[in-house]
Amino acid sequence: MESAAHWPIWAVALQESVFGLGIRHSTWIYPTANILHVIGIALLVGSIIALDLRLLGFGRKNIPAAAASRFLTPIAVVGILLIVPSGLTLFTADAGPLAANRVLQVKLVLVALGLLNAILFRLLWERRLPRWDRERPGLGIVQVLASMAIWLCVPVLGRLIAYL
Amino acid sequence: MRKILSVTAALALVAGGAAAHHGWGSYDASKVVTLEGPVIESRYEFPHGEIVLEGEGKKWQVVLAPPSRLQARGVVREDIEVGKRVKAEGYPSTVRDNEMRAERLTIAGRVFEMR
Repeated sequence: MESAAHWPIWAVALQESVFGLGIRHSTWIYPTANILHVIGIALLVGSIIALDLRLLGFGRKNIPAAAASRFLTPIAVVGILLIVPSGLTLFTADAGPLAANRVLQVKLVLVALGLLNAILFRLLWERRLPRWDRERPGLGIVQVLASMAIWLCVPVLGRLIAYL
Repeated sequence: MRKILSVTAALALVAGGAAAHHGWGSYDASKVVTLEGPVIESRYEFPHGEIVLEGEGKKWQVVLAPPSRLQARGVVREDIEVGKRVKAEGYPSTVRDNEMRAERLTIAGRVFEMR
């Protein structure tokens, strides 16, 4: 996992490309990408956890579930729009070892599961959100709990890439 | 075949630099390694700088702070160029026996803290 022999050829080519070199040598690109990545995570995870809590019933006297969803979902999307390009930038700087990094691999699988879960939730329950609090579907609640678990684990794993 | 060769060459070039990226936790703070001599290899790059120095009969990968912090502390690219005489004090890696994380650099009588 750590030795250069396990780095995929495409990842080595990426990190040695003009992009990889440019990112590593620029004074501002890498720190900027780092900062945008963190802000994006704050927006994404913050809005998702807030919506999940609302769907579990917290704050139901303050805001209807459908309104919470309409307000928070675009914030999550903005978070993703910040996270993806900044994450690709961070990855490109150090693509060889990162591509072989188990922690990053698990994180990306969790991200895929989280997105799939969110899309399925929309498809299944979006139209029922106006009456969500009267009849909460069991599967929907399971999806909400899975969402909280997944999206809390993702930044933990992301941070641990530097330490494991 | 040429592709394999060039990939191998690329690997050899970058192996030292990027292989060092496994965070800042795995260094043995109970042992201090002091290396002094001419810089053999030098990378003034993100995510962190790195130089190669010889000492205790082997070549060490010396992990430094990110270039932005090096700059802020007064270490410019030219200070750690190949051939420049640098003293590095730091902690050895618990994972790789030829890697250390510098806590302090001394260059031409000037002392720079990495943390």
